[in-house]
Amino acid sequence: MIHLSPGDVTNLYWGPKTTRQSLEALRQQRGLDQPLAQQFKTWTVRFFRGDWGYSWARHRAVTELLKEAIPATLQLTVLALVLNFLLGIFFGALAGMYAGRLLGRFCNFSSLVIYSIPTFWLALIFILLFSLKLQWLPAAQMSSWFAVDVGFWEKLGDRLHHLILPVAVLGLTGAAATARYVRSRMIEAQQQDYIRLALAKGLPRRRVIFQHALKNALLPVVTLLGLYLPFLFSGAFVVEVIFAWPGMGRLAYEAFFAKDYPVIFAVNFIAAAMVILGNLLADLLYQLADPRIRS
Amino acid sequence: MKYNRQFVMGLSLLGLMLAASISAPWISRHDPNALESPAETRYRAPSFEHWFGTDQLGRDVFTRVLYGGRVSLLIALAVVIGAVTFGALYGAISGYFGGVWDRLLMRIVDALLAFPLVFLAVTLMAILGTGLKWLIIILILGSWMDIARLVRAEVLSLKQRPFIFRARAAGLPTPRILFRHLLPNTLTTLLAATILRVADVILLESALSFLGLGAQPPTASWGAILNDGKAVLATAWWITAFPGQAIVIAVLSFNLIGEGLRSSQA
Repeated sequence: MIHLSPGDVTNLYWGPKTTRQSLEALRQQRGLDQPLAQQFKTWTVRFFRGDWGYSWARHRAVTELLKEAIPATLQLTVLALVLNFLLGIFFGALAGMYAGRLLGRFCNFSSLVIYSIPTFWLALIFILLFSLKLQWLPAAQMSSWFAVDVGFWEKLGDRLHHLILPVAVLGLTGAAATARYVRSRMIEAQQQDYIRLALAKGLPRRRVIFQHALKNALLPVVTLLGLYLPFLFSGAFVVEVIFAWPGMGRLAYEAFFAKDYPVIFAVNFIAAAMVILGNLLADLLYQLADPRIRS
Repeated sequence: MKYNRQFVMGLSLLGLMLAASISAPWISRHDPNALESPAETRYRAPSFEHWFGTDQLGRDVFTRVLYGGRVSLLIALAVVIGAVTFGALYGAISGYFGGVWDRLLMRIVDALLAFPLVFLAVTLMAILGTGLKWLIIILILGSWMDIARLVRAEVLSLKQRPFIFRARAAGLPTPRILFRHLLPNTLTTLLAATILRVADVILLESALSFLGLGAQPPTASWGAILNDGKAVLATAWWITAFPGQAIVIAVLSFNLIGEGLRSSQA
């Protein structure tokens, strides 16, 4: 997995390439008149010293912007991940247990349908239904304008209220993918010899499925936990834009349109770092879960 | 027999969509990009005259969805053909030559895969530019890596098979071994992966177009129509609801076909 690390290098390499396009008046001040290799070097050196520069569009330190955006994104993605795994494992296991029967087929087909829905469209439809027609839930922002001078619990309630829709959208679309994965693992596990042996020994079917098949089917699922880091990050991109959620995705989106290179680089760096970390985490978790891998 | 059902269902859905898109001029008598309409025909709710209602310029949404299908499906087709051609070649070369070349080529793939696809696409667009041509190029750049990995893995195992040894021993030139012996044998695996890829590309294209980075007006891809609709979601829900359903059906049909193929191979 160390081999994945060239990701950062490519990422940094975008610096010089992108600046070539920029024809702004501040070229000299921003060092854009220098040779590309020089710019790349300067940026890399500063970056690893911890000087991530200032946002050109917002005139604030990039680190400061990130400090605000990362917690916002995490609130969203962590909750979405929880929902994703709860729903995904439940329906995936159900689809796997009853594969070939009506219930299993139903679970399988509906997960494929949800899997085929564009995240942003689901977000729009949820806004349409729950915010605009039913007026149950807020469609944008992290908190209400009136929720400033209130106690902690009211603030928490208000935040959760704002989280419901984006978390539901991210969690549901993610759950569909998880469910499909769990289902195929479950079907695989049920065909193993030890399952047949357990059944032959006369153990009740219910117990065999829950204790033997399900447990073994869920082992590889822990690796998904690592692999979902980037998924939530890029999935959150469009969802954050739609729900006006002031997280990493929206920060990046606005930076792209403003050609705000320091922010673009920083966000890309973090995204790539998360992918690499996620892959590493997936490997480690898999080792923990499956002793056969440890050697 | 389950895979057959999936496959057949996907194929019929896709056939229906393709037929509707291709025969759009005969199905609908409206012009998808017409600007003739006066104010009173704007934002009409769905009716017998306008099945899916009309948009902010009085254009018939049903017609735009039909024509948008052409754009979306053609983009997806172009992207997948490009990505599969490049990815398959890349993977085959990497797997066949092995050694240092393989390691180098695969590290490049790893590096590119380290970026979430949407980020990669949007960043490249910030650098290269927007519009249909760039959209297709960038989507190709963003989606060939999986194919390359898949083909490489296949080639690595095929390489050990006797018929390749014989071909080498017979002194066949490398390109001939690659194109006549290795690549054709990866086709079955490649086919299912390719079709599932089409589904992903349609989703990604619609997301980018929705963000205003894809097809530029007046050309309508499904994502671009959704972009028109998002500002008036509260008053004109039909501009958002119907093109989205078209995307879901198209993506679902490709997923069904791909899954059907894959389970029939297993």
